[in-house]
Amino acid sequence: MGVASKLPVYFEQVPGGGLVTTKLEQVLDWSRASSLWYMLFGLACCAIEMMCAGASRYDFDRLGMIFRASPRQSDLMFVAGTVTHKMAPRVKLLYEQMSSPKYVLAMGGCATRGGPFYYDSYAVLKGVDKIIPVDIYVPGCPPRPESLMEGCLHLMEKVKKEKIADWSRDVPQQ
Amino acid sequence: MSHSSKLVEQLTAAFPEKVTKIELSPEQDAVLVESIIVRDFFKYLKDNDSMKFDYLSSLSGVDAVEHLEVVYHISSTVNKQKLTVKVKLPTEKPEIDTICDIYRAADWFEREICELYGINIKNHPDLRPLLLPEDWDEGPPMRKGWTGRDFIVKPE
Repeated sequence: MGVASKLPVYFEQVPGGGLVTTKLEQVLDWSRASSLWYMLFGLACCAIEMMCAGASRYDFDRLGMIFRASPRQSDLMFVAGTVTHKMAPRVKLLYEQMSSPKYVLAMGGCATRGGPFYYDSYAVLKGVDKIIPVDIYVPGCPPRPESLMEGCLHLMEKVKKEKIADWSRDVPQQ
Repeated sequence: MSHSSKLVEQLTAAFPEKVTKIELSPEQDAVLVESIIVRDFFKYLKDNDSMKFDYLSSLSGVDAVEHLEVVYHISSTVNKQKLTVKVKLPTEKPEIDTICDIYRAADWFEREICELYGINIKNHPDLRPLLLPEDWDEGPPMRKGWTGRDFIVKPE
């Protein structure tokens, strides 16, 4: 019902040619932004806050966001916690197993820049963006569920602005 | 305390010259053991009737700058006593015999101090890296003064 009721509005907003493509983009982006399924995957204490955000008090389900226990079915990966050098290849593998379009949210100081392990640590990767592209950074140690939700809302805005051509942006161009 | 002191006296008498008493705290005595007799020493601790040390709580490495140390915390659930055993090793080419056939718990501890402190464990059945990545090539990271590719020293 949602799409059908809004279709006239979309029709009127689109100027001139390219009518079908533009409308498709808007509808698809709207539907994708409303169902960002995220991977059931956590690395450290940030994962506890992520679970809290997913559970009934903060209830990510109302944003259309639910845990998926497989990277194949996930649109979004929260890198929730400290990425060690030993874990880094596994995180990269999980990211590569997700199907495009896919998004990464670096949650907390560790995933952003190494956090409290930035200095004097032999084991911790200084930011997950050294191995995979990151869309949203959420600061905090760990971020409260409200912060995580704010990050997700920003990501939704980003998804809504995307062109179909952007979807495969992380696939190497031939 | 007296109980513990008696234990140390018995050990120093059983291994003269090789085992010496060191002071750690009033509650618990500790002994320093020469690295060449480590296996005999732990066999004695485990099998002797007045010892019966059957539980290895922890096994750690220490970089004391001028030398390396291996520290065993061991206790007896039969005789209700504890003992700290220290072994000093040279910083160049540190080597020690495995005790993981005497205490199975020592297996992973020894793998860990091998990779983190570069202490070679002789006759250990499986010395693959335990905590470090499989392709680690930057040396033992817990040594003092160690630096690596992605290592950032905290400014003063």
